[in-house]
Amino acid sequence: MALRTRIALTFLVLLAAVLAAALLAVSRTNQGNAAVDAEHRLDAGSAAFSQLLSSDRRVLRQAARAVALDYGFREAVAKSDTETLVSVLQNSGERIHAGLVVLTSLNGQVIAASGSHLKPGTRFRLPPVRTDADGDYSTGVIVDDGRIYQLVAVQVKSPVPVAWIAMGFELDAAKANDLAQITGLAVTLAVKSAGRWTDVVSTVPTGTLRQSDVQTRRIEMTITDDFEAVAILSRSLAEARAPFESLTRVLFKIAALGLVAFALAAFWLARNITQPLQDLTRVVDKIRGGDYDVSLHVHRPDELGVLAEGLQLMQTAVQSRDQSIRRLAYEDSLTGLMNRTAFGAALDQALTEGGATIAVAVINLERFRRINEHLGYSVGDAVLTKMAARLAAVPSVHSAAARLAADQFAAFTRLRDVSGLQAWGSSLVAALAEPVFVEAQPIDISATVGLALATASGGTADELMRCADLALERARREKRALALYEQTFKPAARDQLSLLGELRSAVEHDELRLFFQPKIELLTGRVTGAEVLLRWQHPTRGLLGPAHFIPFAEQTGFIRQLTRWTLDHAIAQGAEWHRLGLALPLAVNISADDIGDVKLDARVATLLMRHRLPPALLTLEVTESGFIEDPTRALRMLDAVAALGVTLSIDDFGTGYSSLSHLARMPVNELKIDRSFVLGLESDPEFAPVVRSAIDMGHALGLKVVAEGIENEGSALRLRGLGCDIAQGYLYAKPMPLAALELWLQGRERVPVIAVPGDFKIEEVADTVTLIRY
Amino acid sequence: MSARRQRYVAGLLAVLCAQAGFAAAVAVKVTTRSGGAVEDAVVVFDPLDATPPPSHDSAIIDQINREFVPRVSVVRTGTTVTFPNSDRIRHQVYSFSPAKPINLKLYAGSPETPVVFDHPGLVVLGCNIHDNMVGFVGVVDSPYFAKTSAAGTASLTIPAGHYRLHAWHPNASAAFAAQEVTVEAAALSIALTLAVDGSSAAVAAWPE
Repeated sequence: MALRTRIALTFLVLLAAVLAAALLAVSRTNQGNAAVDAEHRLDAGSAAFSQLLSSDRRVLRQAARAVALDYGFREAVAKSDTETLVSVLQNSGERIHAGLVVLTSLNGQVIAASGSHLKPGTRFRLPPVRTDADGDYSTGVIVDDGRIYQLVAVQVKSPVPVAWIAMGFELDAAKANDLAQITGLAVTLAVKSAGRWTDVVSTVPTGTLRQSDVQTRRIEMTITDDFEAVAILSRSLAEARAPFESLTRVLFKIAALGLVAFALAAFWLARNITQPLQDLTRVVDKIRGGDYDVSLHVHRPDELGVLAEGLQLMQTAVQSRDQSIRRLAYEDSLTGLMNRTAFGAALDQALTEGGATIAVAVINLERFRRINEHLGYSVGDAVLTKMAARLAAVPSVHSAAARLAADQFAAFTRLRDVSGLQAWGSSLVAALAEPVFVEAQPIDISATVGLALATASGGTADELMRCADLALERARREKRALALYEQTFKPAARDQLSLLGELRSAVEHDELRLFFQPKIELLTGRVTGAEVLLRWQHPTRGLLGPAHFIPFAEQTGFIRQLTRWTLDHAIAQGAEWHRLGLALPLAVNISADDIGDVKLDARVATLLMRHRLPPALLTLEVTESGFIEDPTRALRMLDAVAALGVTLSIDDFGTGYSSLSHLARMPVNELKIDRSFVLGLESDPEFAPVVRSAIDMGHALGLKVVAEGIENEGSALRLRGLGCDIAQGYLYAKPMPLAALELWLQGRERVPVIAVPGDFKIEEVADTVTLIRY
Repeated sequence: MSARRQRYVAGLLAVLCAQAGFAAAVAVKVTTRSGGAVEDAVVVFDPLDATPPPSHDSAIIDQINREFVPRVSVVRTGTTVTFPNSDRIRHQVYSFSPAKPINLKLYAGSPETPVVFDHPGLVVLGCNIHDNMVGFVGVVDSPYFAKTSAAGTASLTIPAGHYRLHAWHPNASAAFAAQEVTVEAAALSIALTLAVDGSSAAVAAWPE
């Protein structure tokens, strides 16, 4: 039910109830009052009636006495002078307008009569005789000749009683009306004669007295053995109620009018309240729907006005908050570019629209971390802001630019054809390559760009960006400013999530296998150790090489788990061999990500301790890329690991851009020349001086120099000639599983022997585990 | 009053004695049905044997303290009655009785003329201005009558012979049935019962 109806109805019902109660009370009271009133009127009327009759009796009695005492009359009585007597009776009757005057003998025989057909000698029944101070008299009601009289008779004494003279007033209709008028009651005179009641005179229609709503008072006038006369005074209750009922009717009318007026007022008032509420509700609905431009037209001085005002303020506040939330949600607060979410949505939108070739670029600001560290975050932020501005200002057609992460940006554009891709990528690189000036200080910064094209086969924004990411990774790995995603990079982006899941499962279900590739000392041909390589015994795809999952693991950060697994199993295997008397140093690859793991040293120490492998039998191979991000911290970690007694080796030397100063400070024991040099040496004799320089530098730093990827005897000879210490490659042995390695080792003439340190002990200090050598 | 009554009785006795030469003493006692003495009851012996001669007696009915004294009188037909007024107020003595209608104008002291009761019957006396004054005069032909004392008794001397005995009292509710009485030389006692019980408002009818 609507509020309006409810308010109005509630008050209406309440009012109706109150009115009904009041009316009921009034009505009840009136009924009671009417009954009491009728009762009072009857009492008063009866008293008046009796008084009137009594007064009549006095008049009659006095008149009768006057006649009875008259000497002449008595003489006439004595003489039985009937004619005279009749005249006297007539005369005396006329004096008081008595309808009936009768003279009887003491035994009731009519002597003379006036106003009646009573014949002398007939019997006339006098009413019962009473006696008072004035003597005997007879009084009562009689019926004579069908008429009813109130009669009073006194004795005629001469001087002893000789006769009765009776005088009566007729109780006719006129008299009854008089009585009724004076008493205010209906008057009915009834007599019972010969056992039958007859209403002789009545001022009300016959039968009235028997009605239920008539109150009566019965006044006995005369009662003898065979005759009764009563007066019945009555009052109709309806009549008594009439004034009260008229009052009640007036009240009812007032109540009805009041109800109608109240209903109108209540509905008007309720509407006055609910109409603005409905307006406000509509406004609230619109605000909920995100429409903040609704203006409220409720201008009232009451609470609703205040509410409307509050709503208006709230609308403004919600609008501004909504905008800021949208900004936060879809905009990078620092640069004002889109954030990842908004960019993804915009890209998805563009992909759905189609019609043009969409190219996506993921851009990484190189060395940005160092800017933050060395110049402060405010400078870093300034750099980011400027770079964002430049990106946004790239003149080529681009649809959107975004900041994805701290130093990562993205942009996508619609290309007319594929050929424009390279140009767009270059323009991005060019735009971002210029030094940035912050507070007049030039800051050198460069950007690496990974590009991906939306293929005809489609794909989501997420997939496209992932591809661009991979391209970026490749560019960074290859130290190039720009790389384009190629299908061969890796499995389709769509498969990546499942690949990650499978990798996890591989770790859990021991689908990973350790392969070993021996390292051979070039001068002596003896085995100096083996590099541990990882293979994946995939349940459906068979044995997978590292290229199938290591780059992916590095991208996703899963490489740490793989490294951990590899370390665990390699150290366990080394320890096993050690117990069997085979001291074969094993080299495990550590990724750049692992170097960033602050607990790497502790992990290695724990594993060594657990498997009881002498640290000297473990070599960790670290690529130069591990030093790019944070060389200082990487050095600290390498120092910590070296402190354990573990041998450190620089892998893929020559491909990175590690500075020689770093190299000098690194606590490494070994240097592995990248296989590209070995391959180059084969095809181009010009490479020889470079390789020699590298080898010489290694030696100069007191490091062993290892060459890998040696596939033929020529290369081996050349490297030996250049002074390389140790070789690794298909020429000597492919990477092989454990059993094959053991067979291979047994097939060697010379069992590898290296000096193994004696006892060692690992001590735990806080959460840092330090291996102390004795 | 008692002295006057004795005087009448003595007169009667003298007459009787003179006519018959012998007489008998008759004692009458009148009681109510319940045995109470009835005063002022009148007993009359009507001689059946002879008609007595008219009387020329005189009698007095006084008015004292608004009462006729005596209240009940019995006189022989032809008796002259004087109505003196001993009160200091006036009275107007009247009677509507057919035996002797009387209307003495208001007077004090002795009236101008006495009244001769010349017809037998009952004469009810009243005073027109004093309703309560009632007197009864029984007018009889027989010279043998008496009125009972407060004890309800009366004594008279009646010559021997046959008589019809009547008894009357103003308040008797039923008429006394007359009876034959034979008087001989011997003394006679007669006991009568009259219905005097105050139940009747009317004055008892005078025996015919």
